[in-house]
Amino acid sequence: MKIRLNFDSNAIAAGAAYVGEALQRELGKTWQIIKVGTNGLSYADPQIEVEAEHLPAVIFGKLNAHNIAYLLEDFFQHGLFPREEFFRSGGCILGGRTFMKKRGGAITHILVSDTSLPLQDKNRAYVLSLLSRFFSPGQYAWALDFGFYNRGFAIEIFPQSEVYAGFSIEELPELFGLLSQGQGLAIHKRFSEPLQLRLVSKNCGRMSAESIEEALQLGGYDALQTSLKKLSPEAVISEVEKSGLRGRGGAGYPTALKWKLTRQEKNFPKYVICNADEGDPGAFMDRSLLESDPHRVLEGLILAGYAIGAEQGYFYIRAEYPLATQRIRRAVEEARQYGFLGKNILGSGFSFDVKVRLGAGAYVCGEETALIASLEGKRGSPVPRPPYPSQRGLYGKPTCINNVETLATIPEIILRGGDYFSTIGKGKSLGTKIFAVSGQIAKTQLVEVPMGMPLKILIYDICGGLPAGKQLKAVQTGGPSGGFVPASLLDIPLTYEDFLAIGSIIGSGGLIVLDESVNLAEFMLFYLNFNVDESCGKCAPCRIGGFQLRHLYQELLAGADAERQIAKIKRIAYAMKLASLCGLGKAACNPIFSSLHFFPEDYKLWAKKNISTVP
Amino acid sequence: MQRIYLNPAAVSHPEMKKFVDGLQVENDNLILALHAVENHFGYIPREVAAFLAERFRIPMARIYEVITFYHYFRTKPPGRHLITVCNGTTCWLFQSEKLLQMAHEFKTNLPEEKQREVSIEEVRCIGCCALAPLAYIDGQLHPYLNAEIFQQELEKVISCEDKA
Repeated sequence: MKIRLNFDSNAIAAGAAYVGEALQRELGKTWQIIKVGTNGLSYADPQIEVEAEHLPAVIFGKLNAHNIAYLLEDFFQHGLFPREEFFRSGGCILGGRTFMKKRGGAITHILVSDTSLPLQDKNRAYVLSLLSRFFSPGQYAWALDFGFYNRGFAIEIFPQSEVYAGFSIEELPELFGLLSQGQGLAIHKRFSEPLQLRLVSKNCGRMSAESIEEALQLGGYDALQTSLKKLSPEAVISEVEKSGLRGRGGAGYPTALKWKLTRQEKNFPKYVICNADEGDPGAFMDRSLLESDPHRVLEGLILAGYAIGAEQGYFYIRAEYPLATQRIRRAVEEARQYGFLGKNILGSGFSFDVKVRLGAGAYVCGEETALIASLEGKRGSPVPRPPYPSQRGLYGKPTCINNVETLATIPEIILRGGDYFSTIGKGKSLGTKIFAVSGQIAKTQLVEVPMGMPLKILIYDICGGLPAGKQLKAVQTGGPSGGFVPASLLDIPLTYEDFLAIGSIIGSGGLIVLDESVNLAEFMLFYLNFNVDESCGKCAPCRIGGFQLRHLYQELLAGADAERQIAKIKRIAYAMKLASLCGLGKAACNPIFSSLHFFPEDYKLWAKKNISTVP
Repeated sequence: MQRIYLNPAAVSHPEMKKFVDGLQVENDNLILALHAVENHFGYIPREVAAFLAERFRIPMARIYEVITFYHYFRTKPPGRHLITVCNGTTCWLFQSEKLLQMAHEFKTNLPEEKQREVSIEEVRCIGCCALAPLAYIDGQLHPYLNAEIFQQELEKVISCEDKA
């Protein structure tokens, strides 16, 4: 009997430590309480997932000091869904996400939810009273989330752990009647089209993030063992090439090509670096991976080292992520003990070790050359490329820098084969991508979907759309280097190419949902404050351009003549885009052009009548 | 998470030197050393920087170049009370700037000798966007803030101190 408690930074901040202590105190003798990273459902933290033969496998979310007592008594003592007070004091149940094997037998529990937004809770009272006619109290409950939306009423029955969806409210009395008599459901209502495809994040939330044993049970280091035994470094690269994997950090450069270029250099030693400087505000994919499945990222880094012929790897983790740092450090130590790091790994003759280095709060250090400077203990100033890091990187040696998610994808590619991976996705954007969806969204969470999925499905059918009463205005993608997707283009497939075509980027995967109340000129001023603060100051276009742009936006918001300001803004932004040394300055203007293109009216609201322009 | 800083005034130079000599960091990585110093003292005292320069055999300018470049490092000691507001995009959408403004007003309204004990900083997204807006007060992270809760929490910090 296992209880999995989300225990990443998000869950801890939401109060998971208290929940963990309470569970340990009350249930520690009979239940195994596993502190996992995150299952991705950040909005429901602190949360636990139950795995036991005699109880329904559900997630209890938003636990706190008030509602946990009801849960302990009703569910863990009596095997019933908790009473109404549990829900009234903030608690919730999430269904449809079990990892348990399906079982047969008479129906013991049933979860119901109305997945058609935004009227989610409107029918709750009616449905619960309807259920009370067929089932006894504690056998049924209302679920907050099944992981999909806009599919009518959905139910999950236990112990089968099967989800059915697409019922209308009129169908419910008959449905509940049949279920209470132990009759099965019409097959066509079975919900069998999971919207998410979890390959890279599949073990997140399933295993303790601080135990290599559990990682090994779930296939950790299998890809490394396979590679060292059966694949040459070239074969590893060719597998990655077949997969079509492109860098997940934002630029989308083909990973295999990067590896090839570093491999062909004849200058030794070589280095591989895991770029864990997740700087885009509003993005938490990398943090979640590092905190939930550190061994997967480490395995990816070792494989990268094997492929390019490096014996030393580095993690460069941002200082704002102390828990991720701690878990990676632990993972590295454990991997050393188990012989996955060190000299002559698994008798293959390949030696590799890893050091963990910290950032210190500088956005620009996500840029390759700045990261290298920072790793060397210097200020993080970028240098012009070429030479590329693959030729002359860390300490002047060939260096390959990959993003956390890119590396975490590698073991999956090796195990399943590059060909399998390339069947997922669309065009030149293959495989799955993890997105962190936040902002004005009903269910802030981490999702992993096949690339090419329309953004609309991700926002509305997976994350539940916007909170009641809010209208979507735009989705901000790619952070301060990205752009905006207006509501009218929401059908856009999540691919590198489609986003580029509308002047945005997928970036590292942070999606921030903006509602009608946000003014994009104001939003841009926020980003410019960010960019001015984060510019390293080395090149004039970025240093001076950013400062002047910010000034122009301040004037604009203070009521200056919009036409004149926009003309100036455009001129400076073009110059900055063309002339800046590194990606920070070049891309800082992307959201400016994007917002001007899609939302020019936001810039015009501010003009004060009868006031001459600010000099 | 709660950090208890040494009082730098009470730390003698030999002790600082001892601390720098005892740092278990790779000898080529100044940033890791600076992290250790900041975690210990709460900021990078000038004297410690001098000892670091000696140990790493680099000019002081190189050390200050790094300290002043990165947001994380302080050249002055923070106040006894540290308020850090997350100003990531999601927190900003949920009015983090108002929280920052509130923190500053709160500070301004304190008696002058107390003002010096309060430091206000902002951080660029700690990646817990589901809990926005959030802020640290003396190392404790407070999620789902609004003006009312934030004000209460700020007042708790000061009232606790009065009792003590």
